[in-house]
Amino acid sequence: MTKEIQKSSLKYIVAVAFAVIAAALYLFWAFPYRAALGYREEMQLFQTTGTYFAGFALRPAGIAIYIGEFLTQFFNNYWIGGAVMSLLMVMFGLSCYVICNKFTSGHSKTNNLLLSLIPLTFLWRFFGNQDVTLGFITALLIVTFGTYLYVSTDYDYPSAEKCLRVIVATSLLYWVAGPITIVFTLLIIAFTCSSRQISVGKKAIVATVAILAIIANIYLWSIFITYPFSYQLIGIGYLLTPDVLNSYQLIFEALCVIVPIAAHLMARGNASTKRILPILVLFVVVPAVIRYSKSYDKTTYRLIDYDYMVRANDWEGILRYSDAHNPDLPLSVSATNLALGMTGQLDSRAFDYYQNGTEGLIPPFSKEAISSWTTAEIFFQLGMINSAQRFYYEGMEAIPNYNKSSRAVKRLAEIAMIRGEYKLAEKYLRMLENTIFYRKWAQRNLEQIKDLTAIAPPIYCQLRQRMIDEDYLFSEAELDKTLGQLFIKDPGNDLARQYLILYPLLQRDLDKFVQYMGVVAESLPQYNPLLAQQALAFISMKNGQPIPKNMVSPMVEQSLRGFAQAWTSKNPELIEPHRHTLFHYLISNE
Amino acid sequence: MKYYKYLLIFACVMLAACSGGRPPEMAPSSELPDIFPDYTDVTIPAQIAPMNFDVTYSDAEQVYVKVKGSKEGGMETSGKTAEFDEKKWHELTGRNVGGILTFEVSVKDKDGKWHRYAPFVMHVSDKPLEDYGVVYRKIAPGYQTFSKIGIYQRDLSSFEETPVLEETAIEGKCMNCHYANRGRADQFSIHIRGKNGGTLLKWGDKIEYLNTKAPETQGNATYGYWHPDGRYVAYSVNKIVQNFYLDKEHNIEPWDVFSDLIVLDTETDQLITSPIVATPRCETTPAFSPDGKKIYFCLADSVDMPGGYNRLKYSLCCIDFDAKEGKLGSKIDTLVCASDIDRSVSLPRPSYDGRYLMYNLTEHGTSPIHHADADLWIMDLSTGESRPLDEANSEWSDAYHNWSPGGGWFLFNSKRRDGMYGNLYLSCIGNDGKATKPFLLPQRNPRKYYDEALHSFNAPDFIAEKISLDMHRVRSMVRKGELTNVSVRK
Repeated sequence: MTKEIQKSSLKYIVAVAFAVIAAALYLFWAFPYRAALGYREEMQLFQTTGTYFAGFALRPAGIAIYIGEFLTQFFNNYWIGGAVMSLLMVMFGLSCYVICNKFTSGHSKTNNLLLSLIPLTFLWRFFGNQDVTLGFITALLIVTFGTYLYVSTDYDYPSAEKCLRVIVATSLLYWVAGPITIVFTLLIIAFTCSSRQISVGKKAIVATVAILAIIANIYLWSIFITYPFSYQLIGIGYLLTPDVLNSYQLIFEALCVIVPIAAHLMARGNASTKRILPILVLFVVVPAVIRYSKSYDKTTYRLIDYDYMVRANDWEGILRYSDAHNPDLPLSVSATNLALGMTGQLDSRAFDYYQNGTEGLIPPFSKEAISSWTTAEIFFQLGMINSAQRFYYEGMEAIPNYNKSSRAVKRLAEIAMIRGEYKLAEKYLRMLENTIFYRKWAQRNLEQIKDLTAIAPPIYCQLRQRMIDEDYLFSEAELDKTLGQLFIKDPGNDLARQYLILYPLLQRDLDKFVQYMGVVAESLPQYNPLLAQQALAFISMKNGQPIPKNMVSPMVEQSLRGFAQAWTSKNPELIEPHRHTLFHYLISNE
Repeated sequence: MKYYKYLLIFACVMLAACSGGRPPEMAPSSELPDIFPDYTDVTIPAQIAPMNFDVTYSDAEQVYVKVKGSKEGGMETSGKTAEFDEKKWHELTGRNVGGILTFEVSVKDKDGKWHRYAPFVMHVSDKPLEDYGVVYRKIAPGYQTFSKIGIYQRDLSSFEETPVLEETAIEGKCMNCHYANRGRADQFSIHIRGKNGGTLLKWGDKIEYLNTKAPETQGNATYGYWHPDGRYVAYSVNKIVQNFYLDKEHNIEPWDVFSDLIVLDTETDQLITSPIVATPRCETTPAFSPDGKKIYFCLADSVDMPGGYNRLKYSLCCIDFDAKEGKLGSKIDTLVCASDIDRSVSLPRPSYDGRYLMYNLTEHGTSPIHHADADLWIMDLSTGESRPLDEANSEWSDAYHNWSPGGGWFLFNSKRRDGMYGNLYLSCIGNDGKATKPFLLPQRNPRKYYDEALHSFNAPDFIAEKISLDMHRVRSMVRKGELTNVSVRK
């Protein structure tokens, strides 16, 4: 009776513990790390078609990766995405727990809950690497479930039957889940060896067959698939970067094997062995949780945060984020400038933030997805639609695991509609129609392009009008001229205007600035933003001329005089308050 | 006994379902069905895979197609799309060589109402297409970054597509076009770019991996063409860069910083060069004449680039080649002069019977796949007269043409479907010297295939037999960088 009570109270404790963990994980993913969910979602275009599935079916781990991608699409909505992440992780924790229970059959299971937290903690940390896919956790769950199923039905079969079970299970798991099947192999060897009912000879046979089965699977698949052998060992699709072996992955996989064995040894051990556990958990789990920030690259996550907000066109969010974290990386500078431009503040507040030259306005091309897409968004908003198309396309092609991108295809469809390439738009929209989250949007737009007389969304019309008409080649070295062309084509293009006047200032080319202000003044004679006043005051002072009071506000004049005094004093403490000004940027060469 | 009753019910249900697949007798309308791909009035080789098609996107609940041969035979199919049985299809086309297949299409709409369209025809050519299939590079029509690239071969008589070499096999390396000698499966070259990049040459069982950049030449071999005797390969050496347009009409403008001609002697791994084809001007895209005595190529005066991009116009030229001595001639003849026509020639491809030479004309430049105005032109080599191949051309880029070694048939890449993705079309030059209406490479479910494909069929060519290339061996050679250096023949 007491045992029954203990058993039911343990069940209750386990349920409560995992419910608490699930809630914590949900809050973790749905709030501070939602951008990481968005990043994973934009790195794929999951389609509900047979062809898409067929692309996965004939390679090891393909099915797990397919399921992983299916689940990843729910990251489109971070409320659901957080729940998916939380659920998968808790399922893994539970599967560890039940496997530990199987390994401690007939003994006390009180330690197992704490033990199963160790691999769960490490999995959570492993997912700090933004490139780990849900395919990995799906493969892991399949393997742990397979292991549980195997050990639950591992009766006293004859050797031949046992071997057959091992071969079939290994082959099936290797096909569905990939090389992480090694966890299954090692666990069933350990489980078999831990059994007192099985003879040593039989144990040796099962262990040998298990090892040979996994080696044979690796070898046979390597003949049929075109990927290099090393990719197959790492796991094709476990990470977005298929060629990089992450040592954390190895440690984690080892833990998946060690923990049930440890559970077995502890359950059989004496009281002092059992006392090790709280100490072990204290020294492994607690520091792992506390030092979570060490499990990911802060710089990368900062970029992912910016990328997420750029994608959502959350300009205010970007500015709040930049106020909290000094934007000093190329992508964060350009995203901040775009946000300033989109909120009409670039020509007054640009130097409130760090500036890294003209590359902070429009970064050069880099063969990498998220920086390409941020630059693409700048082009898109400016009305450089062809360049936006190029950068969205390039970014998509740069996804290391050859995936396509939901985000990029959606924008490419819009770009095709803006360019009037409706057949091409239809192609992209048909692909998006085969998704869950973009279907309605795609269908709406398909209706739109069927009936071209219908009113197109105003943004498309506006961007189409902004495009340059005559033959014009893109030149990275002459982007300012392109900005000028855009402004001349559409003087209402506020973003182009702000970029145009900031461009020469970032080059510290004041003559060019005066020239460009002249171009702007032809269309907008009253245009006199803060930066223009500052530049004009600076030029006047530099040339020994009086500051034109009709064009420069007393506040600007005062701040210039304050800066001049500080600068001539050469006192760093006096200069410091002026560090985030145009005057300092122009004179300091920093 | 009761089991028999169930069986009878089941049989009745099946019978009813089957009879529901056929439309009632009714007169056809005068309207042709709107089918994808547009296979109406096309000419096909008897060996081609079933020409499956779709009628509309969503309104068709069921499609019923009855095909009748003008000589003998017929077949029918019913379903969501018109999908023909491969065996029966080949029986039918085989029995109607030189004849006509008439397609009667009926469609059942969502309300269960049948509509019968006016019949359309396909002509079964008496010109056989004896090749095994086609080979092409599947590549996203991108800019500078490419995801998964692969060279694939497709059996033309079925839908089977198999990889020749995939980018995944060589760990992230880019690979360029496959050039075969008259469609031979055992004699071809492929360029591999990136670290340990080189030119892969296969003939027979032998695979050689060459560094085609000699100290005396400007770069690696790029566009290639085999000499008919299989000993030499003519290449151009190009440094290609791209510029991008900002206006609505254009997209990419690739051009050569430099380009010269070389001929590789595969027996000695030596390069044959000549100052006459290695000049500051741009010589590119060589092709041997069918007798191997001439090399056709494109030649342009260099202009200041990128600013002068619209003045970069290539002429069609040729130079003699002495295969016995392995020597290039001393004189360049101009066949089509760019300044005379104010247009630019690219990709000359002579037919293997020596009757025609097909090439591209564009407003300017050297990359017709990036020019919507790129059209196919054909020159009658006996008269030297050229004409646009209007029967095959479209308003979008039509380029990357190649001839079937058997004669008559040719293929090309066209962006006519959406302006972005290049698909593969086949056509043949009839006895009247005119091209037949081109048809899109058949697929089992063409609408689905072409809607979902995010690649172009780049640099397609015919292949006589199925190519067999040991990818593991290639990977090993590329990984180790086992490159054989070439030298320039003095």
